Amino acid sequence: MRDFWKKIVARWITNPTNIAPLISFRILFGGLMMIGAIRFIANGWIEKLYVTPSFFFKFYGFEWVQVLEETSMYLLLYGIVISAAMLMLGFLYRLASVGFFLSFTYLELIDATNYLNHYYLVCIFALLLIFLPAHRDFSIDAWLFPKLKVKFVPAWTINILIAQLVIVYTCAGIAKLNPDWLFRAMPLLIWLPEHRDVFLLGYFFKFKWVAYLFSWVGAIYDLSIAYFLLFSKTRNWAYLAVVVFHLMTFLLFNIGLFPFIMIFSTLIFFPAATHEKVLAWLGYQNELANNYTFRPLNRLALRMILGFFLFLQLLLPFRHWLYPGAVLWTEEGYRFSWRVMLVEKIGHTVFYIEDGVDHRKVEVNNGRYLTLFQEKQLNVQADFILQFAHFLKKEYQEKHGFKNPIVTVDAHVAMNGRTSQRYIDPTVDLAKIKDGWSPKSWILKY
Amino acid sequence: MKTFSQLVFGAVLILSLSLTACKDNDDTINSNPCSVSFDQEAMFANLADNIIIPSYLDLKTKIEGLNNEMEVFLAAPNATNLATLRAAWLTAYLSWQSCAYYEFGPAENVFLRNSLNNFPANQNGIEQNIAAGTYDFNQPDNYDKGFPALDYLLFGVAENDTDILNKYTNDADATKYKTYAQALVTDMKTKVDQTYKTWTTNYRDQFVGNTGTAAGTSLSLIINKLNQNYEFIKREKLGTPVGIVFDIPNPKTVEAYYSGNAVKLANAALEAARHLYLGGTGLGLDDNLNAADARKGDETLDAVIQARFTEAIAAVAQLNDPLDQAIENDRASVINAYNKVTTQVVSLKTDMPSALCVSITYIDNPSDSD
Repeated sequence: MRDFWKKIVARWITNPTNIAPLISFRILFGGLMMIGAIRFIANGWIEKLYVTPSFFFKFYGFEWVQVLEETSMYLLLYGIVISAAMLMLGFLYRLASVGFFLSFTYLELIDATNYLNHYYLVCIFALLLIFLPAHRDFSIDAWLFPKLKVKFVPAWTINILIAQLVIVYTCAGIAKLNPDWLFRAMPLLIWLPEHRDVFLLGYFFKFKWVAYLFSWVGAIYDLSIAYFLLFSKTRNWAYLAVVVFHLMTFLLFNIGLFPFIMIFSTLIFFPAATHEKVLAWLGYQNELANNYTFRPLNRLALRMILGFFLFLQLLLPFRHWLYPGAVLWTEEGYRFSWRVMLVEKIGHTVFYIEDGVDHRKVEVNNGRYLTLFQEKQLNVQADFILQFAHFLKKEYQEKHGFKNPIVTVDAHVAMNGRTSQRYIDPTVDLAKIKDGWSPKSWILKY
Repeated sequence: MKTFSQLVFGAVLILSLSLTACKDNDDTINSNPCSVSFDQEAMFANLADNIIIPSYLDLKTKIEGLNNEMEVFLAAPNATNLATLRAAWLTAYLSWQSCAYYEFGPAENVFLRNSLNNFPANQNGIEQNIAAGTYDFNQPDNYDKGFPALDYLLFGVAENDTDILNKYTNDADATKYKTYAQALVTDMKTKVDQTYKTWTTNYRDQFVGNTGTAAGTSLSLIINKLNQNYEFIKREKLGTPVGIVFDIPNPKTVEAYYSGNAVKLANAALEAARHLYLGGTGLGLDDNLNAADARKGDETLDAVIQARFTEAIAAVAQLNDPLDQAIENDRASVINAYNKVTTQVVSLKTDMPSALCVSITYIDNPSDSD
């Protein structure tokens, strides 16, 4: 048993492994992030998402992250572009990786309205890269300081990325195992017919069975692809499936860089020899002998930290089991769980403010404070409704002279092609509710 | 190793299936979501040929009538001609209420709703325009044109009818008032004529053939614009004047304040919403919803929506013109009408688009999604 355990540790954690996959990962990830940030600026999203809005929804625990004024927002984005480029080139790598992680994560924390699973994935990759020796060859750093150059790195530095991808795919697959996805083909039945103009494929989207086919293939793909990528016999075919699948989603849905993040990062499953061959076209060669030296500051601490990280990654996607009710409806434990494209919701929320003393009651025009996109998200996410209620309490207290404002809502949500149901208990004074980890009893059962 | 991971994989699969399989017998579910087989083209043809184009034709005719009466009045500004002109103005204004829902394509190109019915009228702006003799009616954000401006010029420009007539006869600026009044009608006529022309020449076929559920398809346009104008009724015609947002009534912001016709106009607008929803006697959104088997509790969604229309229309019909006085004397019944009109918003804005699988597109998504 001890031997078995030792073997596992050696195979997946300590054994020296060729650095090449890590180098490809660094270059592709850095390059893609650079393009992504430039695209973000070019599309005018700084203006639309961070300058126009006056109110921002926060992630619980990160209320302190504030939007910056316009010039600083541009500087932040330029910072992302530059640090991503430095990552790609392996120039001042540690500084670049820390810089990229902090600037990108800060941007994403400003407004939870814009939360996307693939932004979260980027944050995780960026965090991991800080600790990975991805600059130790074929980089400006290694060229400036040849001492840095190594041929081998410990196995965990590559396997942790693999583990992360296995978790992402598997959890995304498990999340699809719900009745709406499997037995009602929702929400693909809504989304696919919107793309009847897509070349060749579009013709088929008017048929219901196509939505079912896509749903089931999607679920099976997510559940199994990581394992097919792990085994050398199936790897090539699996990677072909990765490319086809993600290119298709790119064609059909407005999902930005996500398909490319997955197409690029899954290359990490390939053996070093493949990477060396491809990198050789760029002039890469590593003739070093086995100069394997790995001296972490504290081996135990490192293992503990990485172990804890993976443990968290395994735990977070399933935390919704701790909450009553259907996660697709309550969205408690919805984020950070690789729930991708699972719901189409349309909501309508009216906020009422009542003066706690003279009981005059008014209705809020949400559009006065929120952009249309923020309103859309507010309508279907309970924690946003609560945050906005707290904002309104303050606003009406300070600006409109309401004493002890009571904030209630008339909130309805229609999910996955159904008609609407009441979403929030209309009798609850949201001004008095504190956000937290405990179940939100004021969300009505679905 | 391999069998081990297969085992884990299988276990996870079974576990998660059993845990996520929640109740699915709820009564908001429909057996035919999106009603993909519904004959959209037939519905669009009915809406175009029997609802939309006839509405525009009616408006066009009424505006021509208004234009004629304006010419008669300006040639001989007297009490009789003023009365006829006012009547023509009101019939045209009532006719407009139906057309307000079709603010896409040809109408959107000329900002028809902003051009014809930005209210409350900006009295100072209008007076400044008249004094200056220069104005631009193509600014959608200005409140100096269309029916509301005429409401002011024909009913509110002076204290009583004698003084109003005086503005067009003996007043030092009489010529300027006359020019402005005619310019208003001419602008309205131009834009309505153009909208009607585009609908009847090429847009009709484009509209009927534009099937599907994506943004920009005819179904999406109809549902979105129905909602937009319905919320406009709720907010501008009732909510703002009765003071829903700050609990401070603003009776002067009612539609057609100077002539006191706000209730009639609101009623016409609600009737028009129902007419459009039902598709008259032909295929309409009601049929589409029934084809999708959309249900709400024990009832069909169609039944719920129709009942809510009836309630809203009845509540507004109970009010009396002028609405500004009703707000001051019996605010409770105006608030009641507002609430009855509001109840329908949830059905039109969430239930209907959800059951028909149409996204609400005036909520644009500026970023990626996942």
